[in-house]
Amino acid sequence: MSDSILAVESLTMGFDSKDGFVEIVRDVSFSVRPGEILGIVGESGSGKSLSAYSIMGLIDPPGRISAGKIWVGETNLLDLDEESMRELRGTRIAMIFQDPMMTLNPVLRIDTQMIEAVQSHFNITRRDAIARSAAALERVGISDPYSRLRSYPHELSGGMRQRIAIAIAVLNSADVIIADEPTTALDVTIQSQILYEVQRLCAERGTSAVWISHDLGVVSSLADRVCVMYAGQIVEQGPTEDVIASPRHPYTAGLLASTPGRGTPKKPLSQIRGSMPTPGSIPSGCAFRERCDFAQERCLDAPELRGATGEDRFVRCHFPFGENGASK
Amino acid sequence: MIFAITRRSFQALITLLILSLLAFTAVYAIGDPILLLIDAQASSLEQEALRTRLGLDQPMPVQYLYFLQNLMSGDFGRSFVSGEPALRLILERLPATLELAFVALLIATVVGVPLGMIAGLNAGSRFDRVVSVFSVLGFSVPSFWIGIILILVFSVQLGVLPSFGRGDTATLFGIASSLWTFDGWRHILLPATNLALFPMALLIRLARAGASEAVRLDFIKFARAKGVTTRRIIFVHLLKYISISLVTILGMQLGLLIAFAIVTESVFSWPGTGKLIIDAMNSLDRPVIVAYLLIVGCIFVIANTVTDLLYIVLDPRIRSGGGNDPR
Amino acid sequence: MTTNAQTPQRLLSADLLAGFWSSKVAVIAAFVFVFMVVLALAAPWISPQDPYDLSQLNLLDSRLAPFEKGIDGTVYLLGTDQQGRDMFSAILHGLRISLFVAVVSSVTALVIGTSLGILSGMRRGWLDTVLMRIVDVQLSIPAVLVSLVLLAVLGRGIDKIIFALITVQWVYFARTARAATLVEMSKDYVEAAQSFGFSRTRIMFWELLPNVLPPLLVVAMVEFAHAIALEATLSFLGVGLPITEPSLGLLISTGFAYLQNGEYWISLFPGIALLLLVFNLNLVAEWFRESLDSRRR
Ligand SMILES: Nc1ncnc2c1ncn2[C@@H]1O[C@H](COP(=O)(O)OP(=O)(O)OP(=O)(O)O)[C@@H](O)[C@H]1O
Ligand SMILES: [Mg+2]
Repeated sequence: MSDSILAVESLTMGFDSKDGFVEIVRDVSFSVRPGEILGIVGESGSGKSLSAYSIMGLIDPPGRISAGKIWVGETNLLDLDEESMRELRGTRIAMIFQDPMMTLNPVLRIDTQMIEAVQSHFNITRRDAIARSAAALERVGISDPYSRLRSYPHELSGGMRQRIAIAIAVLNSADVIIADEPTTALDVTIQSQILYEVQRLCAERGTSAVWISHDLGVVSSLADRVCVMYAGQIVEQGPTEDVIASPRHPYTAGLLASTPGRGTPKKPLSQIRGSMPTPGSIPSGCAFRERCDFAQERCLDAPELRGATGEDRFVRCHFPFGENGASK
Repeated sequence: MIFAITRRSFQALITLLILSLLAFTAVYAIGDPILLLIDAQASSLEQEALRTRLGLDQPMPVQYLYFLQNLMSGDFGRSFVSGEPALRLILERLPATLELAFVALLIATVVGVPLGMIAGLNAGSRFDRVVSVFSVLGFSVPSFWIGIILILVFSVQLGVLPSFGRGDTATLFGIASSLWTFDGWRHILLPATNLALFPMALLIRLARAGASEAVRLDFIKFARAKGVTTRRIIFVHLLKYISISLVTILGMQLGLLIAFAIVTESVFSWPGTGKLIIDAMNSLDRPVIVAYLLIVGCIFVIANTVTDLLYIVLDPRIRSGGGNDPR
Repeated sequence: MTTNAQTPQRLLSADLLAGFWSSKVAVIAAFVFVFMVVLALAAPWISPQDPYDLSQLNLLDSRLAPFEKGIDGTVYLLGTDQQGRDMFSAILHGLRISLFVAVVSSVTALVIGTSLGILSGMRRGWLDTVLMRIVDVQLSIPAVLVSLVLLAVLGRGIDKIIFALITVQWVYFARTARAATLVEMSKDYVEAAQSFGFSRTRIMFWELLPNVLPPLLVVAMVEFAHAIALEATLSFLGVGLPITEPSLGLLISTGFAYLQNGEYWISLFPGIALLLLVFNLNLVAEWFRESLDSRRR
């Protein structure tokens, strides 16, 4: 595991409820190498955000991580106490949230919110912290950073706020940035600017990123490798280009076929029938079997996430495409 | 901003005018004021003379204008009992009441806000349930009864704190107050605690609701993701966020507390306006009652106006015009 | 008439009651309150003496501590007051008076406030504007102050204090009833009823009232407790009930003078009765408020 900066091993989290423990994230494993951008794609409700919060140690009761390990370097985050975890947040792993209108405290000025991010970790003067914040703002393409620092969030546009959130995430040179759908709430033009900015930042400084999105298009233009999540599980994982060129899991294939601008031109967009099962009502065996056109009796047994020999690809399916004995 | 101040001040003025009209109706329009203002033994000639002198032979609207004019020049009538100007009686007693209300508000804030926030942060816990039962107690149980219990426990049984009167006063920065002396603090502690219970219950409830709602918001999660300490999140992010709404309540409470002080002052024989008004009621001293209502009304209106303006100053979203989101 | 458009929320549905039984605090509080009411109703039969029949009082027995034996050997459970009156009996009768005043004023205020509130919510227009202005102004002034001023003008007496309490209370009912009416009016079934040609009054009573009731029930409980507390406060201040109607507040007030010499029982025990009444009723009301709130969500 020493070649990865962040490695998640068989992570399982869920909520304690009246009817017992309901699993949301189920046996999720992935790793991020230095300088790499890993995409995580999945429908709404597939457990992407909760996976991200689990890594950040931001799960509140009744939520709970029931199994797994999260390695950052040589430390398993799940062994850390709250204070060590706090020290790690923002310095080793940082996170950007979905809605920029909600992530900044509306009653505190931008400088307050940036200075505290620095001073929570480093014993430096306010002036130095401001200089550092201004530099970070410039790095994410904000001109006139000093006047922005004196603003309140509501005085800034959504795109601007998301840039500030990104600046805060890179403020302490974190090794990994987890971006949870940071562009979903923004206009398309601003979206691509932000994408470009993040790509540039990662390339410049060798920062790794986990980019979460429900949009395969966004992820494909950005990520080196991609994980596809379905009902709390990773169903397919591999280099982005390979996965998109030849998906092995029927769900990935369906997702690709229903993404505009992908697949064969002129072919009408198809849809996966049915809808994703909600937590607690996931069918036994393969979680996707009820929606799958290729399901067979064997699918009543839960498939493992298997890797093909000699390839960096994994799939959770008994009958994957493009392998020997494939269903099609 | 300037516009907001002007508008608010104008509203305050209107409210005060309505108040004066009500007071006017209460003393002068109901019944024959002459009978109220003069000895019953006075001859009818004397009565007539007074009637003309006071302008009571004029039509009502004109009389009201006279009444207003008198108020402007500080003439609120004289007490039937002591013959002293009613306004002076009130103003003499006012510092004691303000002092009491101020300390009560302080206690309520210092105890109530943290209790409410901790309860809200641990919603559903045992602590939360105990605190919420306590707040129901503060809301519902008549404050005079709590006052009696405080006296019984701390002054009769334990004998540690005095149960009546105001302690020694001293003058500091030109303000005579019992807060500058140790004896004064000993005397004010019980009544102020008593008076604090209601606003405390209110603050607990509001702080609890605010905290339990705000912790679920993304910006708290984001602050945690930055690695900010829990202490700072609670005392800076959360407190600042909910304090904006709490300040509004506090300001309004100051006005209310002066009225609630009527009860507390009676229980603890605190020589403030509340005690005065109860005495005035028992001796049917109408000018004092009216003066009291007008002065308390003024304080109430001023406190509310200042609070509204403070709200504008505190909330950045309102401060810079309308709070519209330039998305 | 039945409309399927929207099932009106029923006042005491089974699951609400089931939830009630599972809340320990609410059940105990309700039980204690009901017990106090029963005590008050049964006062003439269960109290050891008629506390206001002077022939039964013995001045030699005055200010006896709880459990102390009187001249003729009677044991006074809660002690006696300055006239040798058995405190237990005095409290039972005080409960009756306090409850009587509160019931009359709260029920009257409920009827007046609810009618005006529903009317105001249904008609809107100038009536609504004027009524709500009055309600706003009154709500911003403390109830103690309003009732004190009224009593200062009216004088003392049980009828006067009931009048003062009604004046203070009706606004709470009016505000709640109006708000609930506005919500209900926007729902389908009222429109359906209107389109069937039912008159406004009919809608008001047969359609709106049952649906406006749940929030009103909470206010009614709170206001009932409020009335008890307010009457006690006014009587304690000496501007409430006359000495011939010794409510709990008045009993506490007379005992207050003896508190400093350590003769606590004359004030304390009526006070505890008052506390039990008011606090428990509020706990029950609080429980109802919370469960109604959580259902609405
Ligand atoms: N506090 C909670 N209690 C119970 N279930 C929850 C809670 N929070 C989230 N869930 C459930 O967990 C599942 C996964 O949620 P998550 O937010 O991780 O989805 P997501 O993949 O990020 O979706 P989106 O694209 O909408 O952000 C959802 O089905 C949601 O209903
Ligand atoms: Mg999400």
